[in-house]
Amino acid sequence: MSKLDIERLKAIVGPNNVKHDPADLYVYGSDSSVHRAAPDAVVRPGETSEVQALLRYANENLIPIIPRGSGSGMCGQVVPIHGGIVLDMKRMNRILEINLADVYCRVEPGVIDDDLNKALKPHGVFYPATPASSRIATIGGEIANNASGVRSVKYGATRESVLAMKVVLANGDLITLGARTRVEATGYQLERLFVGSEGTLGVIVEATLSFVPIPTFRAMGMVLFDSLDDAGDAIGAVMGKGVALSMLELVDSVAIKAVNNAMDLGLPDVEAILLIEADGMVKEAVDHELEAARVLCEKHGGTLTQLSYDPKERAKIFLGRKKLFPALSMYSDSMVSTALADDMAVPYSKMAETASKIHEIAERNGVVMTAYGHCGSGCMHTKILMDTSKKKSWEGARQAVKEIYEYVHSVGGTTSAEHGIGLSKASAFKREKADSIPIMKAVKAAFDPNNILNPGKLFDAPDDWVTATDLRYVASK
Amino acid sequence: MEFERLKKWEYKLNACIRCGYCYEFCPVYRSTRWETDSPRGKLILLSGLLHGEIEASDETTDKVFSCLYCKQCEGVCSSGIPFTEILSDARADLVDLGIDPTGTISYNESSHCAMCLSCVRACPHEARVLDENRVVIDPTACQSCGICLDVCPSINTRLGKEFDAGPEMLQKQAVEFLSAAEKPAAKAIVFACNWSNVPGLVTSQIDSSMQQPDPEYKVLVTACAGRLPARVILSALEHNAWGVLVNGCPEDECEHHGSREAAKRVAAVQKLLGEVGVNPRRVQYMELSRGDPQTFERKVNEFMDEIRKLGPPFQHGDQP
Ligand SMILES: Cc1cc2nc3c(=O)[nH]c(=O)nc-3n(C[C@H](O)[C@H](O)[C@H](O)COP(=O)(O)OP(=O)(O)OC[C@H]3O[C@@H](n4cnc5c(N)ncnc54)[C@H](O)[C@@H]3O)c2cc1C
Ligand code: SF4
Repeated sequence: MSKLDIERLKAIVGPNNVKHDPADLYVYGSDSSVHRAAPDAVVRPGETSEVQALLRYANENLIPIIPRGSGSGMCGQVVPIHGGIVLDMKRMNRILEINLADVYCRVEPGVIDDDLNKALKPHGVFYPATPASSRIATIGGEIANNASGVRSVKYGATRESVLAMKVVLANGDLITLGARTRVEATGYQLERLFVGSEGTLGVIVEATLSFVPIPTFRAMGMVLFDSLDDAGDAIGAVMGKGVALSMLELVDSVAIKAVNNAMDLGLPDVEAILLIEADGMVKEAVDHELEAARVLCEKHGGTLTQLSYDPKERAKIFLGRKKLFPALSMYSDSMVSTALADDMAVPYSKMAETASKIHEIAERNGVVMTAYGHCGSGCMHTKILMDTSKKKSWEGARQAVKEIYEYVHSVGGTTSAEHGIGLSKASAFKREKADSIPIMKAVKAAFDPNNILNPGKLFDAPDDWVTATDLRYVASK
Repeated sequence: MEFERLKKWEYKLNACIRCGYCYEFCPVYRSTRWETDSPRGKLILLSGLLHGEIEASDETTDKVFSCLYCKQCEGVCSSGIPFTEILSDARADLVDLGIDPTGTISYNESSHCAMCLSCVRACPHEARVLDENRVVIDPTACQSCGICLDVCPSINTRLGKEFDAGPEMLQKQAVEFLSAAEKPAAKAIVFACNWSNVPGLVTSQIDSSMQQPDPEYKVLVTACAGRLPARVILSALEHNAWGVLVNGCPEDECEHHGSREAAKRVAAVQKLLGEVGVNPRRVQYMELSRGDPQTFERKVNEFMDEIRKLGPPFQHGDQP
């Protein structure tokens, strides 16, 4: 990498959109993961032409470029492991078009998910692939991570909503991928390739997304189980019978205790809770799905409580799940919640077993873990709670992560459901995808022959995530 | 030991899950859009200072001393981080190290101080004190609330940085909105304190071709309602505003005694308007607790209904 020409960067994006003092570089070296590594400059392009000029410059001088949305990724995707230029895309934040007749909208990548939904709401439609972090996550970051959320069971992940996009390649060329139409069979589906590409193939400068009508009716209930295995069986039964729920969430006993301890929300003290929700334009249809789910859950020992159409009641029911992430960060005064082994997906029939396995592995390795997630999509979330100041905790975490992924792969699960790979899940990813990694590398080389785009991630990330970069925590004891 | 006070917050610095949920609520971040200026960014910097990973350079300390203490971030924080308490301790540590604080800290622009001590009396945080015949500012106590801005008869008090929440910037934005030819419907300005109201759609922009019908009013966020000078309210009226609504938090919730000041100031403006034959109802003050956008919208709509009935000022024999 040649020395950065800061004046050149300023000439491209304007002097007010370049930062290179150590304070800014330190902050932009972090995201929501455990990793940190500072870039050499942070640059905020405002137009596609500026992105093109920046990439041309970087490509000629072999300088890493790390596209960045809001830095809410949990696996170190935007941590500049080899330095270079962080491309903060949040200035390209215009909602360009909302086309109701043709059912698409066009946005720049820095648009915040919640802002897009605020703009769509008056038209009676919404963008459904929303992650829990929608108040901060950018559309660019969601596409590059293939984000999804609590309603993915019905509406799918980001990839289901992306119709087309404009992308700047490593050499500065601008290309258009996909089409604005609902269907397309015109060659390789390259827009799909960019979904989940984690900034390694090109910089997305515009996305065309589809949306769906806001349902008129939505109802939610809580199903209580005295055994985690029963809850797991109920998930398989509901999904296997094709019950069309818009949400199916699992909360295990560790998670229930965490929420009740931290916030006193009074969640029922049971072994597992399933939150079920259905939505639609016709009340009878919503009732029908929920009734089908109730019957199947009860067959497996569940008790349906608090079913409600009232938005306030629904919000109350969902509060426990919503507050889970913050509750975990207040679990105890010595443990913090780290984003590790955070979002595997497993077959429905393995949900309960996976949850038990997670607890068993955590205990064996001296860390605390919980199991919850969008089980209607097979997604199992967890966090590792530990005393980050102790070296022993990190050894335990390293081993727990390894064992968990070995188990997940053994039952036909996958390393990440929605948060992506970045640095912290790279070794598990490499093991899982061993036979397709040569092809992935060839694809990467075709798009980015000089390897300037977010280098050192995915298949190129170090095997040991603990030593891959400096950690954001200091383990001194 | 360096950063002795900050050290006791190490657990909290680690407990921040770096979700960034605090971004949209931070007036400093909203103004610059650099992540370093957000609460999350500042906590990262403090972590770096504590662990010797970055130096207490001018840039770093300027960030640490740039905060309007609106505490919105604490209200929305995922991890219950007492952001301003941590920041205040870090500031005290930095002052012990001999740094010269900049950022948003208040200062006196010139030495032409009348020594009336109005600012010393007005400061709710005891940051301005009389020391050997001059007013000195304690940078570890100043919360940049701006209450001192409008009390100085010599117009000598200043905040280091305003981040779009300063009186001049608010006045400029209000005048721009009221005078813009493409916004014929523009009628009113709502000055909302950052604590009681955070306007939506703050981070993305809608293409102008898709804008909703011309807005009749504009919400401008002042860090604390108490820092809004009367001249800014009057300037909006001079530029054809039909009305001005000032929104602060309930007195017992205000961290800076700002709502009391704001209510007093609005009453003074109303009295003045009455004296010159303008209906005092054109300028109103309302209190609102945090996190209640529905009531905010309802109260603004009620105000707009009243203002519409009054019509444009100075045209209909506007009598009180
Ligand atoms: C509290 C919390 C809750 C979360 N909940 C969920 C959840 O429910 N579901 C979920 O899926 N995720 C979740 N996440 C993870 C994360 O928020 C999402 O993955 C989100 O999509 C990341 O968006 P971002 O703008 O922050 O992207 P960043 O983290 O900044 O970047 C993510 C990736 O996108 C790339 N990128 C960004 N912009 C572009 C661009 N314009 N062109 C090319 N590449 C680009 C980056 O290089 C990086 O690889 C959560 C995170 C937090 C902190
Ligand atoms: S909201 Fe709280 S936990 Fe989240 S980044 Fe801000 S300070 Fe940290």
